Amino acid sequence: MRKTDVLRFAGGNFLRRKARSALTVLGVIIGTAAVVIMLSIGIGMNKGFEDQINSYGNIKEINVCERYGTINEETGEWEQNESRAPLDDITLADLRAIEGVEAVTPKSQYWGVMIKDNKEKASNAQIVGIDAASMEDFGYEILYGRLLNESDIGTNNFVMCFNMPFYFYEMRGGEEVYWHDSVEGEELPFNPVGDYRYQFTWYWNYGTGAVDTTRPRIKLVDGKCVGILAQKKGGDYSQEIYMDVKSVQELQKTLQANQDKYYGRGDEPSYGGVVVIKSDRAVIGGGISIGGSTTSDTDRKSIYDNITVLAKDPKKVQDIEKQIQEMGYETNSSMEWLTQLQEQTKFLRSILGAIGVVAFFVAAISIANTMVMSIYERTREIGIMKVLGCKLSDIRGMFLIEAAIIGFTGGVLGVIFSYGMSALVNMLAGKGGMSMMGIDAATSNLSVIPLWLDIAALILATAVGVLAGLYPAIRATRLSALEAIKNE
Amino acid sequence: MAEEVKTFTDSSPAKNKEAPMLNDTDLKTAPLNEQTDGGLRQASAVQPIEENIKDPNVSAKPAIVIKDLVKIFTIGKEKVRALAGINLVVNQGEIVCLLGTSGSGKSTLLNMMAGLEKPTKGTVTIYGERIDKMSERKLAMFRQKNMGFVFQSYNLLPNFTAIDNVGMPLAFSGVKRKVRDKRAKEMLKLCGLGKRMRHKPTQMSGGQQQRVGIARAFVGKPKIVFADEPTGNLDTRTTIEVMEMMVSMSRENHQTLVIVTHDTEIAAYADKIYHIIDGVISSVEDNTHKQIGVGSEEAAEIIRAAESV
Ligand SMILES: Nc1ncnc2c1ncn2[C@@H]1O[C@H](COP(=O)(O)OP(=O)(O)OP(=O)(O)O)[C@@H](O)[C@H]1O
Ligand SMILES: [Mg+2]
Repeated sequence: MRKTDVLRFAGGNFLRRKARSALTVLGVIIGTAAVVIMLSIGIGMNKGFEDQINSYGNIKEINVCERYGTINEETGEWEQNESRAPLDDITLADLRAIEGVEAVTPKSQYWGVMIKDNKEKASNAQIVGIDAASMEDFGYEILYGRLLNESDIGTNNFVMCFNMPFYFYEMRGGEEVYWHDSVEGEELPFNPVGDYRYQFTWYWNYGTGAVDTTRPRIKLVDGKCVGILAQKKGGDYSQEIYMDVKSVQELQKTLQANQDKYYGRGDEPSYGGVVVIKSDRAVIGGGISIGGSTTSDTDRKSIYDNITVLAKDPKKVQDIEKQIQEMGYETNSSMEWLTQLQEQTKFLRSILGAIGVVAFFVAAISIANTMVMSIYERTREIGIMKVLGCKLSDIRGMFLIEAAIIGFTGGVLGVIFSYGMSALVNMLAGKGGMSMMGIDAATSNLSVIPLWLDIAALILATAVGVLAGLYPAIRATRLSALEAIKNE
Repeated sequence: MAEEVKTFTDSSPAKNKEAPMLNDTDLKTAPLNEQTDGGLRQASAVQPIEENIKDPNVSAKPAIVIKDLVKIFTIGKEKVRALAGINLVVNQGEIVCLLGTSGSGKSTLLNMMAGLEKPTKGTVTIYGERIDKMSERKLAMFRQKNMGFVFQSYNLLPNFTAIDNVGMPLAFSGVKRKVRDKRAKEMLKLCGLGKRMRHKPTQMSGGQQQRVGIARAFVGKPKIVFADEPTGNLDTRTTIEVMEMMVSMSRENHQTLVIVTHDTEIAAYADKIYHIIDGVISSVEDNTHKQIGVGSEEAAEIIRAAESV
């Protein structure tokens, strides 16, 4: 028999019993849609975590800082490290050499005060020193102006985060015009990239109180805004401005010296940087203290607060982290957090998956049932075909193809149906303001259907159809032709 | 007469061991109706079977050779002996009738000739090939190539039109749809169903359905056509029509026709009649001289007789 004829016979049978074929296909539709929806929720949840975490920080980034000490697991006592691996330029080179590392930047922070045109100011500007040349690598998104590059090394050119302009307020008017975090989609109060004069200082009361003329003059250092970043998803809460790391250190030194002189202090070390306490591994890491000493076996000293390493692939992050920890540093990353979140919801996701699989299984049984019924009904027909010389393989083929048609049709319609269901799930989740497992339904979809899931579902549905049709098809070929034509 | 009567259970081992394959020249040299035996030989049941089977024409080539065929059905502890040692030879182009009462084993014999059932003992050889030993796969191919079937209950596929039903054996042997539709149409016209080609079986009378059945059996020009009570469900007039159609078609194409019936009037169309009683061939009747011809006066007489009642 020709292949086209086998197909025609199978298709004819499928179309002949319309009601039954439709019901069986419906079973497959529900099965397919159930699998797709359940998996899409799992995928959506993971994607939601990722979005969420990405809005706080890039999941490919690893923060590296010194390891101050560890907590003894038996005694619970804090044990300070005698010597610590320092954060310096050699470290930078070492980190760059690790496989899978895309870019590395040192970081030094200085909390300062920023003045615009001598009229407005922003207290609490977190001036972050980075490697100006690698800013582009870290995937910062620019809104106006440009990112920092090599030409900005050694200058006081800086880039603001989107939130920063909302933090400036009138110095003397008493009326705080801008003084809040930006919400998503909010317009900038002004474009900061322009012909403005920006200055940095340490004096938090600058411009608002009376000036003590007996004290030394308060120093102002000029800077130039070359760009502003695009707003982060879900709103912006940071007050960061980015500048070349060496310039920030220089700025810090200058302002610190002025501050000390103003208060008539000596060269006491003042502590800067961030302390991170990680309960899970009982480690304390932190930044350097300016002027303080960092002990180390060699003469090397930490010159940066911390270092940020960018991995090429999010999957490699934890691998790279481990290597850095072996070098004697403390690390943390969003990825770590993400894996923890994903680990926690693994059970839920596997239950969702299991529900889908059960639905599919029921659909498979329904196909098998339909095909077996069809054989009972067509016993005579099959017998006649056999007597007339129809090959067994062709009879088997007819049944398998009919089952495959049921599976495929159900698969296609099921995938289409699942898009509708997915939209409904997302609408309901969004409407209810549901935030599931820390996923904000407003920003992330609860159900996400990637293309591969559609294709996989289609293939699966067809394969299940064929598999379910296998037993009936073999049964059909085993039928005794004689018995079949005898029964009236 | 001695040289005319030959038995197939001949003790000489060389004979009938292997039935030669048929070829065209053989067919030409074996005229069908040319039979030397004269008249009816009414054999009694006591007579040994061997003597009843004869090969009147030495040059005729055997199509079907059956030897010592026994079929025993076992139902639970009971054993039913449906066939108890059948020997027969059907030559190419011969029209043969298996005649007997209900339960005598006619259908069982036919089914075994067609390879639809396996014998308990004995052999069935068609064109030199052992049907009883063939796998289902090979049998399907063999049937496709060599056999056509006409059934008592027509056995048309209810969801297909006449054209599709007739074209079905061709579809199974891989003939393109266009070609087979064309041939099916020709065949249906030949059977007088030119106006019923797109009808489904339920939209046709029994006689029309059987004519579709005949068209289906002959469409692939098989060498052998088996018909089990082909007129069992038809009235006398239609019976005669159907019989004449089958007989003339198989004559025309030199086809072997094996008909099973319990009706002596149908048997009258055959060249040779095998009387079967309780699973054995009780006698063989050479019918060539008493035979009803297609469209003959006798046929008309039978119809008149039947319809006058
Ligand atoms: N599948 C079977 N199982 C058991 N016994 C069977 C089977 N087929 C036939 N028989 C028996 O074999 C014997 C011959 O049956 P068969 O069908 O050949 O008769 P028949 O001559 O064709 O009769 P009819 O004219 O009624 O069709 C019967 O006694 C029947 O009961
Ligand atoms: Mg019978």
